[in-house]
Amino acid sequence: MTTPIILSVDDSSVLRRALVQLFEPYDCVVQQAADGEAGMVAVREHRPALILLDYNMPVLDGVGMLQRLRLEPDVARTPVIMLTANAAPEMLARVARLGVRDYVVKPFDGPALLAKVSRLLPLRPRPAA
Amino acid sequence: MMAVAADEALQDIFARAFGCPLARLDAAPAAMPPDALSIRMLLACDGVAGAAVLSVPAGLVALVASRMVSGASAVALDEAGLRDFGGELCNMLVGRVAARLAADGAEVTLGTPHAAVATVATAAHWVCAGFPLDFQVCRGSAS
Repeated sequence: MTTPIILSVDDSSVLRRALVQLFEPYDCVVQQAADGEAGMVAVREHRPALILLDYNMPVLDGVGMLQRLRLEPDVARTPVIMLTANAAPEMLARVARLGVRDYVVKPFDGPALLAKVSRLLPLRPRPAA
Repeated sequence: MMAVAADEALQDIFARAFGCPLARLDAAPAAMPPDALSIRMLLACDGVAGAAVLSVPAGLVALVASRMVSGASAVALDEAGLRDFGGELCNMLVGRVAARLAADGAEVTLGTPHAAVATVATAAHWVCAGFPLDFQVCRGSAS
């Protein structure tokens, strides 16, 4: 069984580091990208099983990346959980229309995020080295 | 409404999410230390342009960051890291304000945070013709 790849797209390196730490006990690889443009490059390269996508980013924001993702047949169905500081109903409806599977309000609660991820991706303990 | 939303955002992020209690000061604020960050973010409401500005000492940014990333992954934040997480803090605060305003029916537009480690060259508080007056000139590196 291949090790699943989770792609974290967030302009904050501290947030990305926190996500790497959160998934450290699990048998998965967390790849990182700092904006939507870099995120699309990483999606094509790594074919992640799940994307954790920040909403508000420079260069190309989360909505912009989602729109591009849904236009590329090879990766269009990749499940996405949106990480956002703004949980306004209008914003949530907008990303839901783009097929976002779930969302988490920043700063994320680790166990809650793990629970949402595990609904989309089986998280197994990392094998002992 | 905006002031209430801002107060709630501060309590929600600093006190509830990161466990850093805070209290409102009624007196003139203490001067910011030289390593303080100034983070500015567009917050337009119902077509009226506006901005949120967060001024926060580097030590508080580092403290909050340490509550997000701990253990072996925790590393001391350099200046870029402080700007990075300071911007994220501002984003979280403004996101809370935006959600509250949107829930009350406002149309809200947000920008991305721009942070600077600013040395406040002039920080005195003035009174001019009976009115309070603050004029701050800062220098520092911006993101």
